[in-house]
Amino acid sequence: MSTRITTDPEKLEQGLAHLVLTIIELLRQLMERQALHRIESGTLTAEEVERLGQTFMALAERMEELKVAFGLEDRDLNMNLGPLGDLM
Amino acid sequence: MLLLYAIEAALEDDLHNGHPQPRGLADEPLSTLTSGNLAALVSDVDTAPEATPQNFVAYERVIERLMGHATVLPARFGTTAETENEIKAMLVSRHDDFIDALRRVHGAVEFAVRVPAPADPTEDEPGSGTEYMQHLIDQSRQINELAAELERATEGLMIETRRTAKSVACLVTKYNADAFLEKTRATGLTVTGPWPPYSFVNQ
Repeated sequence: MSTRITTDPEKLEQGLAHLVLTIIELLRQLMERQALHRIESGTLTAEEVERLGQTFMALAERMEELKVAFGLEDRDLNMNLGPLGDLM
Repeated sequence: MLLLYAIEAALEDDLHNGHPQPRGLADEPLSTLTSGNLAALVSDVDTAPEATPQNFVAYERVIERLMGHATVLPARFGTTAETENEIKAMLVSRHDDFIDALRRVHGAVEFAVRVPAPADPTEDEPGSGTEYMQHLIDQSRQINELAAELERATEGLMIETRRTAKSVACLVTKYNADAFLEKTRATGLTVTGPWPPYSFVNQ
């Protein structure tokens, strides 16, 4: 019901933003987890850790701004994949 | 327009008999829409309710009253539909998901256990990239420790748990709810609930 696409331009834009942000959020979390694994395994230099951290921090901030701009909450950026459970 | 509060097994509808039915938002009476073995609890509204604290509390209260005597799947705040048929069509199209979820949360409630807040709140605001990554590592370690501590403290009282960044949601049968609260509080954990099983319903 709430995810149905209608022809109302405003709702269409909202629906598209919802979909795009969901995918970006998934990728962001996957990359973040990957980076944490690498840091914990000790294969990165201090400088690399700092650069990664800066990047992820900026990404997380930008994501927060976009969520506010489109009126979305964290739980909106998830997707039910039926028998596979939730996307995140 | 109809506002959806919860979904339940149609047979459970009988369980509300003899209990005063809560009233919905704007003091409208609740009605039950049935399709096959599922039922939706709705009330009439003029427009979708605004996301205000008062409305959240009122909505939450209705769901809590309903879960007092039946197993319900709580709807997300503000789920609306134009017509009864729209709701019934959803009961049909998502029938299997709802039945699975009802089975999972049958007779159960949710408790939320939070990671203790840092003694120094500024610790939560990472300045450098390295601090940010360290913060993420600490956060995931804390949540894992909390989940392990919960597991030890409650000795099999939990049916299932789900982790978020700062809390663990625990699914517990109503029968075990008091014992769960007692054991978690005895260990000094911050627990809230019982809540409707929001975290265990994929809507």
